[in-house]
Order: sequence, then structure tokens, then C-alpha cells
Amino acid sequence: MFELQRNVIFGQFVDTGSPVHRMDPRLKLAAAFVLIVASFLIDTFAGYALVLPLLVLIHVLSRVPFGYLLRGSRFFLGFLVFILVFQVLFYPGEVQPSNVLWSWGVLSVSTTGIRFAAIVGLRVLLLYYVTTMLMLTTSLVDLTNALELVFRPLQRLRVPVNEMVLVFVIAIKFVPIFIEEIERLAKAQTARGVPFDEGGAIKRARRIGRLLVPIFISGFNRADVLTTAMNVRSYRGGRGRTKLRRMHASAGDWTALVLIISWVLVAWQFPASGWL
Amino acid sequence: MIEIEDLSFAYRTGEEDAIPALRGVNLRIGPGQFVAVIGHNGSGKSTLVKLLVAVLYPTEGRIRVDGIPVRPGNEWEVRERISVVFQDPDDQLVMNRVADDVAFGPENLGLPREKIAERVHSSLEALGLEEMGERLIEDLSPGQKQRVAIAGALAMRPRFLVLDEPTTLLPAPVAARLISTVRDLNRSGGMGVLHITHSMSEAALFDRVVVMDEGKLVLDGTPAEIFREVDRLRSIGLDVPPAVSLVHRLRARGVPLEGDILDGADLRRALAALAESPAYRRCSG
Amino acid sequence: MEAGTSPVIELKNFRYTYLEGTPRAVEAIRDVSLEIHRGERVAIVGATQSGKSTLVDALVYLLRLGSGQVFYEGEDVTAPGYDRGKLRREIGVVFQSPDAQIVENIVGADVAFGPTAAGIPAEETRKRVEESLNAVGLSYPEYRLRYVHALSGGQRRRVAIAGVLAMRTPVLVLDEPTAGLDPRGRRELLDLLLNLRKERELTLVVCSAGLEEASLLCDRFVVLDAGKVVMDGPAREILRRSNRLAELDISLPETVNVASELKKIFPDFPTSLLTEEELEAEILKHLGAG
Repeated sequence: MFELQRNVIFGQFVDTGSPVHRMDPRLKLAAAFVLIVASFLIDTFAGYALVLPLLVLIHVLSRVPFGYLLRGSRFFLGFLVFILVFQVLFYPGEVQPSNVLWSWGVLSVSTTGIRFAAIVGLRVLLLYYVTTMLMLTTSLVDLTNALELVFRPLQRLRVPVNEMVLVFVIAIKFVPIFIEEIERLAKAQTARGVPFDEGGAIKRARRIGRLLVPIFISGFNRADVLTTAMNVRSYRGGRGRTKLRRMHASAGDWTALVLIISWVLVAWQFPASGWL
Repeated sequence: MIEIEDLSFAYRTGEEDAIPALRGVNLRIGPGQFVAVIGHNGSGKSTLVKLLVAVLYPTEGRIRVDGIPVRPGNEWEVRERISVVFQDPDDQLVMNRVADDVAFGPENLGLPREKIAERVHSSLEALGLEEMGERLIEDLSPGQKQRVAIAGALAMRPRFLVLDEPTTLLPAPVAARLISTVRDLNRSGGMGVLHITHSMSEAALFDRVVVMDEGKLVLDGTPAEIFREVDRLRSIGLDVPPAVSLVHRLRARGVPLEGDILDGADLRRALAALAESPAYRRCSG
Repeated sequence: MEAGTSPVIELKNFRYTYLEGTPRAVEAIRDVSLEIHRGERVAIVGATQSGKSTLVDALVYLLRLGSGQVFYEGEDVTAPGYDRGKLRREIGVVFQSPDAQIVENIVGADVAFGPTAAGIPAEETRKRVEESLNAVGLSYPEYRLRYVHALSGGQRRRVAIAGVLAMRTPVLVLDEPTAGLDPRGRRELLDLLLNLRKERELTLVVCSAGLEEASLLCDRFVVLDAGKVVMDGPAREILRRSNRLAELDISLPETVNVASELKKIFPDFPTSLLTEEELEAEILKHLGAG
């Protein structure tokens, strides 16, 4: 609780200056999108096994410490396991009696259920990994510029794309600041006799509830200052804004995107083609 | 030129009575002036800042910035002339890389890329951050973050820079260096500065000090003139720099110190002069 | 420090890395050993990121204690089964931001929070709340039912202090007690703390980025730089090393700055003066002596 930042990686940006960081943000976003689509398409273990080397390659290139990513995903992974156990126990599909390993009332464990839950787990993991890595390797300005371009078509439908992207990016920026604030509050309250560092999960969760009011007040104050500061710096929505950063897609970036697309296609189609 | 005439402002709180924050303030700040504003918490300083940049509008009276009246419809023109830096850099910095944040304001103005790059470069240089453009803001010290915030304000090329208690969270030596950088900017660029502070020693570094109390402007003058009013300042919850307080005591004890004394160096000079003076030689000899 | 008495608080080869194992790891404390004895008034001084706040956290076990040991009254607080709750009832901490440590919305309820959680009977708690609120200059009948968030920053800080006083801890730790206050708020709070110091048998630890308040409240300075103790000794002795302190970005009391200036014309002028009165007397002495 006192070092929440070790356990929550969301919203962090780790600047290693790697090729993944330097990749043109538009193409990086496109590549991330391809992988997200892949997480919906691929439904075989062999498919995921084929994607794995690609992810390992990306990760090694990014130079983001894997241990950090793993620790920072603890809460998420714990939650995922919890959900998957339920998936298995309450598997709603049809199960051949020979596949049932154990059952008790409505609860049952079957190989079909396990297989189903495992595929769902892999899908979610891939989705999580891709979005997390996108944030870990893309600075806020790059993320803003890329998202604005991708969602530009929505502007025709009068969706305030630039404003929504900025709100999203600022929300990401504030995550670490709020986490630090929660750490500070938890410490101060523990010193007063609210033991955040002891007790079971439910007791801890109830104590976290106590933090909500001060966090809300401070969040409101910060938002107020930020809005004023942005207005004073002449922010009046996305219209007419220009950009300092020029985006440049190198031949390498395009190659990477093409490679990722082909790799995903193979992982999707190859297992189905009967070779495995 | 900032012209404030009979300015009053009250916060509306629903149906109940309005809470007055400013009452009948008159103030003129010429181009390039270097002014400190002091006053206890709740004396109306921050409300004044919000009115100056058209985040709030006068309930009564007028504000004009370079001739442009502060009223709805003019806010963008006003904000091109006045920039503000707030207390906590974490609340006002938008992007996570130094150069990206400094560029945020000029980008909003729709300037061409080369112009933005030039402004970012010169603003970073003015704050001594030229090496830091690609650094992440979260890795900087509080003093450096505040410098990034000032660089961002400077990149707007304002006629006036308003500093709303930017030194409160900084250690005194770091704050002193920041003020000295702002002084250089003021001298070299002719940009007016309005610095709001709780530190009397900081206020003493400015050319002019404006004192607020309960929404009114109660004193306005050079630091020497203002800090002569020791009892008056203390009665409204303020103070004088420690050296001034000491001189006040010494004079009360009959030590004939000459001239305006605001800090240790002034006191040293006055005591040295006193030691040289014939009157002193007579009485101690 | 007399020989024979054992320290109230002792850190032995204490080290701490914030966010260890992440790319953002910071070595906050590198090998600190420190003893604080009963009744001492110690200022822990250092620039931002020197590790002083981490040290405060370590005193009441608000960290993942790793390398090194922390003792309270001779007991190792990291030992399995050590009662951390008891430790926190013995050492009261007033943090820099009062809003972080105020847990209830009503002044009286917040001050009563600590004693109630510690199992103090209601009648005794009520007495302590009254006494603590009065001690911080917020009159009990007038303030006990006030809404915390409607108070000024200075008043909230007093509520936070009252909440700690109500625990009657023998050790009181103050983290940047006057940061962000206006001159009146600062003066009033200093008077209040000086009063407490006089009236109660407290072991006082004040954490600060500068020596202005520290020199009024404490008589021993521990100076930190980059997670290490670089100076430790009686206040006046430390103040003599003003050049070194300035290098560390630690602000000196204005009395010392003025005295250093005067030393240029009066070569024997002492520089480690703590109060305006001392400075005044010294100037009068030098003028009188001619």
C-alpha cells in the first residue's frame, strides 16, 4: 500500500529511447491495433504460441524491464486468475460427460471449460500486454498526435476528437500523481492508527474507502487549477492548433508494421489450415 | 500597462449573499514593472490573478490590459498578453516531456512549427533548461519543474508574467535563484512581473510592493516605503524582512542608523557608515 | 547525550530504496545510523530529495523496511510480531499536509479518532480532545463541531496537530510544520510549538528544508544529503558551517545571514546566533565597544 507505484504500472511511461519508443506513433498505434484485432481472431493455442515470439522480440527491443512489467501487473493478473476460475467452474457450454473431471451441484470442472477459459485468458493477456506496452513506450505528445489522427474521421460526425484525446491523455498523466497521493494518505492515516498495512483483503478495501473523500477533493482542486492554467495558455480546443513535433515514418517503421501484420495473419490462419 | 479601476468582485454562492473578495481596488502597473503582491491567505490576491486573465470577470469596476478591457469575448486577446504560473507545477504542466509542455501554449496559438521550435528553444535557454528539452518532467526536481512552468509561460511572449505563489513549495535558496532568473528576464525583455508571495524577504527584492488586506489594496510603494510600516503590516497578519525588524529594534534602542535598510548587506553598510561618523566616534571615544 | 541512557529511537545502518526493482527506483537513504535520546529536540534537515521524509516514515514503520535496523526503546521494530500499532501510539507524526492525516469531517471527531482507535474510554477521550484543541488555540466549545474542510489551511494544520497531541505520545515528529503558511499563520504556529516544547516533556523531531524554524525549535541538527548524514551536532556548531550548508541548498536563519554580513566589518562577530534578541545584543555590544 505504501509503495503502490511498484504494483500499478498503468499510466507510466518508461523512456529507454529504444526503437520501439522511436517508432512513428501513428504506425505504432496501427501495429497495436493489429495485435488487438489478433486477440479477437486467434482462438487456438498454436496461434498464441506463434504470436509469443513476436511479443518477446518487441519486448527485448523495447528494453522495458520485464520484472517491472510483471510486478506492475500483479493486481491485474490476480484479478484475471480470479475471473478465469469462475469461467471454469460455471462453464455454460455443452460438455461431453467424458470430459468432466469433477462436479458438485452447478459447479463443474471439465477439460472443455478449462480449454475455453485458457483461450479467454490468453486473449485478455494479449490485449492487456499490447495496451500497456503502448503506454509504456509512447510519450504523451506522441500518443495525443497519433490518437487524434486515427480518430479524425469521427470529427465529421461532430465528435470533439481532439478534446477527447487530450482529456484521455491528461487522465493518464494524472494516474501516477494520484497514486503518489494515495500512498501519502495511506501513510498519514496509518500513522494515526488506521493500519493500512495489516488485516485481510476486505478490511483493507474498506480502509481504502476512507481515502476516497480526500482524493476526490484534491482531484477536484487539481482539475480546477489545470483548467485555468490551460485556458491561460490559450487552449481553446483542438481547432487551429499546430504541432511542434513532426511525425516521421521511416522505412524501418513500415517494415515493422508489415512484419507484425503478416505474423498475425500466419498465427491466425496457419493453425486452422490443418498443418498443426 | 495594466489598469485596474474601482475593481470589486464577489463570489456568488447560490441564492445566499455573495462573498466579497475584492472591494474597490485601484492599481496601475506600467510596462516592464517588477512588482510583488503580499497579503495574508484570503486577502484577495488569487482572485485578482483570476480576474487579470479573464477566468473571472469584474462584478464592478474595470480592468484593462494594454488597453483591452477584461470582459467576456476578449479573454483570448487578454491571455495573449498575460501569462500565469501557479503554485504547484504538477497541476499546470500538461505534457510529460519538457519541450512538449513548453510548446503547448504556442501550439494553441496556431503558430507555424519553426516559430514554435524557436520559442521553445529560447524559453528553455532563458530558464537555464536548454539541455533538458527531451527530459521527462517527472524526473526533475521541484525547482526545475517550476522553471519548466515559467518557460511555458514565457513561450507565450507575454507583456506581463504573473507568478501566483510559485515559490511556496520551494526551499529558500532555490526560490531565490528562481526570482533572480525572473529579474533577468524582466530586465532583458522588458516583460512586466507581478509576483505573489508570502515571503517578505522575497518581496524586498522587487521594485514595488503592493499590500492587500481583506480584498482592499492597503499599501503601495517601494519596499523601503512599505517595510517602514512595521506595525501596520503586523496588524494585518504580515511581517517585515528579519533585517528590517532588527533595524526597527536597534533604532528604538537609540542607534542612529541612516537610510533604508532591507537586508544584511544594507545593515552592514549602515553600521560601517555609523562607525565612521564623527558623532559615533565622539560618543564611543 | 549522557552515557548510560539508551536512545529512544535508533537507526542502525539503515538503507531504503523507493520503488525498488522498477526503472524509477530511487536510493532514498544510503546507510544512516542515528540515535535520538529522550528529551532531545532534533531537526532533520536537507534539501528536497535528501531523504528526510523517508527517515520520518522509517521512524513509525511506514516503509518496507529492508536493510538495516530501526529500534524503538531498544526493541527492533522489524522483528516478527512487533506491535506496530503500539509504535504509532508512542510516536506522533504531524505530516506536511494536514489534509492527508485528517480522517474525519468534524473537528472534534477527528481529534478523538486516535484515542478512540487506541481504546481510550470515552470520558477520557473527551477530556483529551478538549485539552488538545485548547492547546492548539482552537477553543473547544467553538471548534469541536466545525466542519474540517471549511477551515483555513493554518487551522487545519492545528487540527492535525491536536489529533496527534490527543494521543499524548512521548515523541512528536513534525514534517515541515510551517510550509506554505502565511506570515501570521507561521508566527502563530511557531509560538504554539514553542509553548508545547516548554510545557511538555517531549522528544521532538522536526523535519525541514531550511534552518529558520529548526533553529528556534531544536538544539541538535542532523543534516542529510543524498540519503546520507553529512553533519550531526549541536545547532550552533552546525550553523558555523554556513558555507557548507549553503552548498547543500539549505537555507540559513536570517539572523545567521545578517551576522555573516556584519562579520565583514566586525571580524570577531559571532555568526551562529539564533534569535533577533541575540543579534541585537551582539550589535549593541560591538557598537558600545567601538
